[in-house]
Amino acid sequence: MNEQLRSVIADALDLEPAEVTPELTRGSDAVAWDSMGHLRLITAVEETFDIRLSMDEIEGITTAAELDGCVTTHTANK
Amino acid sequence: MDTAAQTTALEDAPRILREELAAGELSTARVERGYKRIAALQLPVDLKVAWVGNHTLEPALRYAAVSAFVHGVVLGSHAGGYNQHVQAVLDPGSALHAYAPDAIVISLFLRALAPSLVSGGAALSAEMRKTEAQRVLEHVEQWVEAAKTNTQAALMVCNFPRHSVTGLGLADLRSPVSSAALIGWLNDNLAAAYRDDPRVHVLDVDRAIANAGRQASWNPRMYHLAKIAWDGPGLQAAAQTIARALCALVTPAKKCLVLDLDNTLWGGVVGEDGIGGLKIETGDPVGEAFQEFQRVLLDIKARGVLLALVSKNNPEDVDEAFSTIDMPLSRADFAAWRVNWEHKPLNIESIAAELNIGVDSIVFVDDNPAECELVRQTLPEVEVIGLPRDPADYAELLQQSWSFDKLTLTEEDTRKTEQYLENAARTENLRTATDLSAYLENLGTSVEIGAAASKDLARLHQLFSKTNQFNLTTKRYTLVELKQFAESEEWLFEWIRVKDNFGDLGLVGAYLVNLSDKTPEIDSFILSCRALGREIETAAANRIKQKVFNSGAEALFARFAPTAKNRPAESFYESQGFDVIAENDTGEKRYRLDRAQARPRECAALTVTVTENH
Repeated sequence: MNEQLRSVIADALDLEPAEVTPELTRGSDAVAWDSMGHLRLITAVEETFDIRLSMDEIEGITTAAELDGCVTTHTANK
Repeated sequence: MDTAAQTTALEDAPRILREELAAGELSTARVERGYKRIAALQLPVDLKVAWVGNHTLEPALRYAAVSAFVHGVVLGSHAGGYNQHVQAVLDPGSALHAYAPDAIVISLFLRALAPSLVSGGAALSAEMRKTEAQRVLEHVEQWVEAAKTNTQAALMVCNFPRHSVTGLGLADLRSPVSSAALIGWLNDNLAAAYRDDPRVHVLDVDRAIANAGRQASWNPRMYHLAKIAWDGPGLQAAAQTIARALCALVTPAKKCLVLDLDNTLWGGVVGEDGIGGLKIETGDPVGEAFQEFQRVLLDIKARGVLLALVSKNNPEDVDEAFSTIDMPLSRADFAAWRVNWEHKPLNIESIAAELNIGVDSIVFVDDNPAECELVRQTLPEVEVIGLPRDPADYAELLQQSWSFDKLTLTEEDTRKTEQYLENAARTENLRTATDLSAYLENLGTSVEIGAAASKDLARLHQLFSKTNQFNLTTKRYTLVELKQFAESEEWLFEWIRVKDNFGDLGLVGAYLVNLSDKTPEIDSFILSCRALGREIETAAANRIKQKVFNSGAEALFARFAPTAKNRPAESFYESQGFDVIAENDTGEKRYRLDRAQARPRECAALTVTVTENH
């Protein structure tokens, strides 16, 4: 998992970096990963990696691993 | 760490965080982190703010809280439910009422409130479109009325940002009912509706979004996903506009702008380059940048800020330059003037003494980093603005400063410099008069006393908020509370206006006497420092005595509550014949004046008129 992404997720969701595992799941594992937290996370990710996710992608992402995959695809296509 | 070191660390923590956040752009990630760290400090809240509206306001709320914190104000925040702004003020059991906010921010997004005014309504008749805009205006006005009646809060009403879309494309400007035209109409009417209402502040979010870029501020993904109406630069600009207004509710504006001269107000050094060598002429690009800076200073002066000059120069050179050069600023624009070879901090202190203001209400501006540093080191209370290298950037730097922000301007603000110059003439009179009574005679002071009415409330509120020296109890009442006093039969709430041979000092004082039971008590007694030492306070005390004892009271009570600044008022009641009946170890005193001793004190040099209208 991208280390920079791990720290962005930790910051946005108020977690320790060690708590950010690929299995981390939206709506259950992290208290702060609710719907507003999700948008804060997406905004922070977009700012950090200078990418832009579509509405489908934003809605579809439910785990840290999926977000990681999405970031990889977008940065590779830049 | 020992206890003392721990205490220092605790006191330093907010300052360190403030400096850290102030350095650099506030990105989303920095705002998120900053917001949490501010909350973790658990600082006392300066202003409780409720945010309501029909779009997601949490991001703006967080940004505003961080931005206000950087400017020294701790905001408390409550976010109302989506589109619950009407219920929140009308329902006494609502979470908003439980929160009891000092201010309510309302932002209504047109796409949700009246979608056809933004998109999809281009085919509607002009009549229907106008009716829709009218409906929006009425909705806001009804909300404001409800909020005024049901809460005590100051109301911060965001106006409507114009959108980047045009319904009719290239032909948009041909339509008198285009989206942009109708939103412009709405914003004009909104501003006009509350122009004279000191409790309602219409905030120009439209301009904020325009400055940030309408297109860059609109992120349809975020709107469709989460009803976030302001994104990226638009979020920052709108939240800053709101934060600035919220800060202005609690932070008094700076009173005086002390300016350096050479390379600050004109290019070059008058003592070396001579008047002909200065860059201030029209036609010279650098000269025109300095002219623009001078014009901005005139606008800041128009907000009631005093300008003062501090310059290391020969006085004759500067006098000659000001009398020969045709430029926006003239000598009469400056309330105080120090052209000499003294250290600038000394001159700043002497200006503060002359203008009778605190050093902490001064902003100092200089192009020379060494002078700036010297003032920072010697007078840490003074706010120092170091000018950038290019004079082209001067004007904007000062325009963007929050230091001179006032939400309302009173007649006193616009006449401030004139009043201080008149004061200087009065001091001159003092120097020539042989004794105090001759001085007071020469002033020819007339005092007018009258009942506080709604048109006086903005100025009275300013007086209650800002007066530190001659303030017997230093109670800072809100505008709403003052309005209630003014309307109540149980309170004597009167203002004091003063004029003399040298000019109009305006509304300079007020008092508030509780008449509700048999033992009336003076609750507040305030006189602006520029009216002190002229027996005006005695005239006002005579009026209170007359009013209270004529209505049959046996005794009048009063209280003095000491603060760091109100020493000048310490023995006021003693001088008016009151007896101290209790005093505690903080120096707080309680007084009683019996009917038998209630004779008025002499203030022969004054003409006093009382306008009764209760």
